[in-house]
Amino acid sequence: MILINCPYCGERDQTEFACHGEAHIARPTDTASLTDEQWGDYVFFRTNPKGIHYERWVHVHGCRRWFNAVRHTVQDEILATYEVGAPRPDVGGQQ
Amino acid sequence: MAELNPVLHTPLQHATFHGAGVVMGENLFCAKVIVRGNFDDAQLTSRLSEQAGLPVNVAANTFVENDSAAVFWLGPDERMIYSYAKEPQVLLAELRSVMPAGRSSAVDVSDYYTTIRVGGVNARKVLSAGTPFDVHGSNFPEGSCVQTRFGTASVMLVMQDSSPAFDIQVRWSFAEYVWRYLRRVAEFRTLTPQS
Repeated sequence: MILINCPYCGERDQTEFACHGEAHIARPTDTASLTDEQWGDYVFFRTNPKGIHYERWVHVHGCRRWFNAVRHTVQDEILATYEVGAPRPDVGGQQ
Repeated sequence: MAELNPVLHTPLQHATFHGAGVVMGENLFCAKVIVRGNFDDAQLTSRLSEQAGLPVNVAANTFVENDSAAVFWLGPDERMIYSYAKEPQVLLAELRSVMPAGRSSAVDVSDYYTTIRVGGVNARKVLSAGTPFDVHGSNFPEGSCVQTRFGTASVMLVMQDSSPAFDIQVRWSFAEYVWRYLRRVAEFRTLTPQS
């Protein structure tokens, strides 16, 4: 059982949450001038790292708020959670 | 033209259960309204509190209650307000009258949720069979309310008093599922003595 610290509710069981992929992906502002390749990068391509990954999570069975989490993709350890819009937290320089 | 005689139904028809150190029953219908808005706004908060008869700026995972109403924390910008005295449309109109248009909302969910009261010495054990949330008194004191999972249903667990007595707020369509789940667990316990 993994406990995830919801920024609003506190620590809750993993089964109350859902992960929705990579966080901090900004939608392009000048969409009219993008090439197909640039659109493809934005829509389809994600970093898929081995190590630290910044992700969007939602507390589905709880407060239903979205937040971001820093997860280690090998250890499946959640190192930090923070509100949407907040800067990426320092997780001790781990990779 | 035939005269209309609307009858107030609840999903469990106020079912009750007694056994294995567990007392359960569906609570009476009451008015329920979900309010969303900026609760950091002191003016909005004080006006809503006046209408609700209770402070609406409650701390996370807690609720306040008196004889005629209750206010539950659902999220940083979301509250659930129960009224045991008013009709849903009256409560809704009163709350809306003090809310700024376009920047907040109040929705009548009286027919969307029902609550089941679970009490008795084994209430905690029965609850913990369905939810990953730790309902032990040290983690879930009186005055707490948490939104969590029970089986596959999303529920709000409310710690009413440490006798113990809990309320489970569940969606109308999931009420029978949760009720049967609770009953099954309680009945199972009567066949398997535990410490």
